[in-house]
Amino acid sequence: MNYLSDRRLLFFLIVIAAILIPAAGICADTIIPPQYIGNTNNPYILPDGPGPGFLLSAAIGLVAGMLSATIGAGGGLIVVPALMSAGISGIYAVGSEIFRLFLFSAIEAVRMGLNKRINYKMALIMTGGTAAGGFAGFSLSSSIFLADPAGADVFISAMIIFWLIIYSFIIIPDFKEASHKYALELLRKENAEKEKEAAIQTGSSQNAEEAPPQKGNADTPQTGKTSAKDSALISFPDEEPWEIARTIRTMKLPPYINFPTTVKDKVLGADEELADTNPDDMEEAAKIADLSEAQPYARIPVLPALLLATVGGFFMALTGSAGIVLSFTVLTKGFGCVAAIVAGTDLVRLALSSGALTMGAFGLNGFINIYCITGLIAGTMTGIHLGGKAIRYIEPYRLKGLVSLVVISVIINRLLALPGQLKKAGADISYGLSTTLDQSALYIMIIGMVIFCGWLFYALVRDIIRDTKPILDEETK
Amino acid sequence: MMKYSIKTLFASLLLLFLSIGALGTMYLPLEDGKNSFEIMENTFNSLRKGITPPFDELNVANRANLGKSFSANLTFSNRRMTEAATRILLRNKLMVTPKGRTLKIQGDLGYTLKYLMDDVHQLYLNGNKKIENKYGMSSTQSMFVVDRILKKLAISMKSKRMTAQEKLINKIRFEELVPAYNLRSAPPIHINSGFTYLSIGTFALLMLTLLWDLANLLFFRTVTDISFLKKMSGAAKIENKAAFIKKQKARKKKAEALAKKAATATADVKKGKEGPAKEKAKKNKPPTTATPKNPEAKSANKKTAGTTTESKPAKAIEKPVSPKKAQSKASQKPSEKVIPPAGNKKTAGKSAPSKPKQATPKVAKPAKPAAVDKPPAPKKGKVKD
Repeated sequence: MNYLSDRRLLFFLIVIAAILIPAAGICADTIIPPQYIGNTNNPYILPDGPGPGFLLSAAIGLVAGMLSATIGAGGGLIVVPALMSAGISGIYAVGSEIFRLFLFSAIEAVRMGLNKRINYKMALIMTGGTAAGGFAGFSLSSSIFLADPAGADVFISAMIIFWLIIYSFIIIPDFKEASHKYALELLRKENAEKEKEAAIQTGSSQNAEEAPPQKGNADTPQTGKTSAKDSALISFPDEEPWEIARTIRTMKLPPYINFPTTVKDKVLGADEELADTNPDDMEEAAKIADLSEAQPYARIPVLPALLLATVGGFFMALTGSAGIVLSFTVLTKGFGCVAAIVAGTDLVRLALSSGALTMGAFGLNGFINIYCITGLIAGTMTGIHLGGKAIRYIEPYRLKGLVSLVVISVIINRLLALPGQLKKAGADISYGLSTTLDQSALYIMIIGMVIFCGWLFYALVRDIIRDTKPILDEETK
Repeated sequence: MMKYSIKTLFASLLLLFLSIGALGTMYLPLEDGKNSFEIMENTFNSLRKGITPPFDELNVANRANLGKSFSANLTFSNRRMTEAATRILLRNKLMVTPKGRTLKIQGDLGYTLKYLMDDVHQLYLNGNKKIENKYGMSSTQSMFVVDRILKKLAISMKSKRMTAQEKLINKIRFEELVPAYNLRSAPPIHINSGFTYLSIGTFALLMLTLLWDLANLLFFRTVTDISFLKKMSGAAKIENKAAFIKKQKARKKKAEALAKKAATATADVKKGKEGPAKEKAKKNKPPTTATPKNPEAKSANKKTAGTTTESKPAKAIEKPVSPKKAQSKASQKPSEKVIPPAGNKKTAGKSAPSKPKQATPKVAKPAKPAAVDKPPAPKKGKVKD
C-alpha cells in the first residue's frame, strides 16, 4: 500500500482548506438573518414607522377634537381605540394620546387662564394626584407590555371597556334627562299654542299683546344660538349639585381648600313660613345659621379631590382617557363646585400631569409615535374650533345623544376587538371568527364617528348657509 | 370685540398655509436623506432602546458559573447554520466536535456566557465592526446564530435539569439579545440626551400647534361670523336696502297721517272758532300767499312750505320733542321710565318693581305688566337715537 508522502499530504490539506474556507464564508453569507428575533409577540419590535399615517391620524384627531368641543375636554376615549383599530399597539396609542392631551390642554389651559377660570392651588393639588396615579398606571402598563405585548393590548382594551362603562353611566342618564326636559318644554309650547288658538277662536283680545314675544321665542335660530351658551368650551353652565355636596363641603377632613360653590341653602320667601319645630331642631337650625354666616360651603376637603385625581391619573395612564367627564361631573355635582372654574382647573391639571407623564414616562421610554402625534394634534385643533362653532346650533340634548352614541360604539368596538387580541396573545380562537369580529368592530366605530361628525358638520354648514341669506320680514319681501 | 372681515380671513389663510408649510418642511430630507419625521422617530426608537437591557444584573448572576465546565450536544436545522455556529463557538474558546448537524461542545459555561454577553453588549452599542472582525460575518448573521446557539443551549440545560443555568440563558436571550438585535438600527442614547431631544421636539410641536390653532381660530371665527357672512354674500346690502325702503314707507305713512291729522285739526278749528280765526288769519296772513280752501290742498301746501298759521298745530306735532319735555312726559308713565336697561343688574333688580308702587300705585297699575315685559325698550330707543 502506498502512503501519501508528507509533501503530498500537506498539498492535499492546503487544497481542501482552500476549498473549505471560501465555502464556509459563502455559507455564512447565505444565512439570511431575520429582521426580528424572539417571539412574534415581543415588546422590542419597532412600530411600523408611519403607523396609520398622518392623514388617518388627523381624521381621528378631528373626531377627537369635535368630541372635546362637545364634552369639554378629552377625546381620549375615541383616540386610543381608533389607533388600536388602525394597528398601533395599545401602549403606543396611549403614549401618543397623552402627548396629544399635553399639547392640546396646554393651549386650552392658557386660554382658560386668560379668562381667569382657574383655581391654581386646586390645580396643583390635583396635578400631584393625577401624576402619582399616572406614574403608577404607567409602571403597571409597561411591565405588562414588556412581559407580553399582546396581553397588554387585551388589558388596555378591557380597561377602556371598564372605563367607558363608567362614563356611560354618567352620559346616558344625562342624555335621558336632557331629552326629557326638552320634550317637556316642547309639550309646554304646544299647550301654550293650543291655548292661544282657543283664545283666538273665543275672540279674546289679549293675544294681540302676547303675540310678538311668542314669535320671538318660536324663532328657531334664536333658540339655537342661545343654546350655544350651554356648549362646553364657550361657557360652562353650573350643574345642580347632588345632596352629597353639602355633606362633602361641611365634612371634617382637613386640610381644606377654598373653591367657589353652587351649593346654597334655601331662602324662604316672604309668603313662606317655617313649620313648627321642637327646641332641638331650633338649636340645630341655629348652628346651621352660625355656619352660614361663616360661609359653610366655601371650602372643600382636599383628600377626596386628591383621591379622585389619583384614580383619574391611574386610568389615564392605562386607557389614555383623562377622565374629564368623570372628574367634571363629580366636582360640579358631587362637590358642588362652579363649573367654569372646574373646567379651567381641570385643564391645568391635565396639561401639567400629561406633560409630566410624557416627559417622564411614555416619551422617555419611546412609547410614542411622531406621525400619530402630529396628525392627531392637527386634527384636534381643527376639530375643536369646528366643533365649537357647530355645537352652537345643536340642541344640547342631541349633543348628549351623539356623545352617548360614540361612547357605545367605542364600547362595542373594543368588545369585538377582544377576540382578535386574545388570539394574538395565544388564545385558541379561529382566524375567521377573530377577523370577522375585528372588521365589524372597525365598521361600528367608523359608523359612530361618521354620524357624530356628520351631524356637527351638517349643522355648521346649514347654519352658515342660513346666515348668508338676508332676513326680510313679510312687508319688505 | 374683534371685527371679522376679509382681512382676518386672509390672515387666517396665510397662517394656515404657513403652518401647512412648516408641516411640509418636516417631510424634506434633512440629514442622510432622512426627513424630520424619520429623525424624530429614530430618536424615539433610541429612547425605546433606552429600556436598558440588564447587562450588569446578568453579569452578576453569571459569576456563579465561572469555572464550571460543561458539555452539551447542539443540533442545528441545516449544515450552513452548523458551520457558522462552529465558527462562533470556536472563537469563544470552546472545544467543538462536529458530527453531521450536531455539535458536541465542551468548555467553561461561565466564560462562554460572558463572551456571548459581551458580544450582545457590542451589538447594543452598535459596535458592529468589532463583531464582524471577530466572526468574519455580518453582525446580524452572527447574532442570529448566537440566538440559535443560546436556544439550543437552554434546551440542553433543561434536559440536564440545570434550571438556574437554563433561566439565565433564557434571560440573556430575551432581555439582552432580543432588544439589542431588534433595536439594532437605533443608536443608543443617554437618558439626559433623550430628555433634551424630547424637550426640543415637544417645544417645536407646541409652536406648530400654536400656529395651527391660531390659524383655525381666526378662520372659523371669521367664517362663522354672521356680519361677515352677510357682507360677503351680499345679504347685508339687501337687508339695508329693505330697511331703507321700510323707513321710507314708514315716513310716507307718517307724513300722510300727520297731514290727515292737521287737516282734521284745522277743520275743527274752523268750525269751532270761525270768527276769531278769520280775524287772526287776516292779521297774520302775508299778502302774497294764498291759502287753499280745501283741507287736502292745505296739507299739500304745508308739506312744501309749512309756514302758514293754519299749520301751527301740525308743526307742534312734527317738532322733535325736547329731552326735558320727553322726560316730563315719560314721568307720567312710570312703567317706562323706571325700568333700567337690562344690563344694569343692581338697578334692574331693585328699582323696577318698587318705584311704580311707591310713586303712583293707582295710576301705574295698568301700565305695570307692560313695563315689566319690556325692560330693554328704553335701551333700544337710546341706541337708535
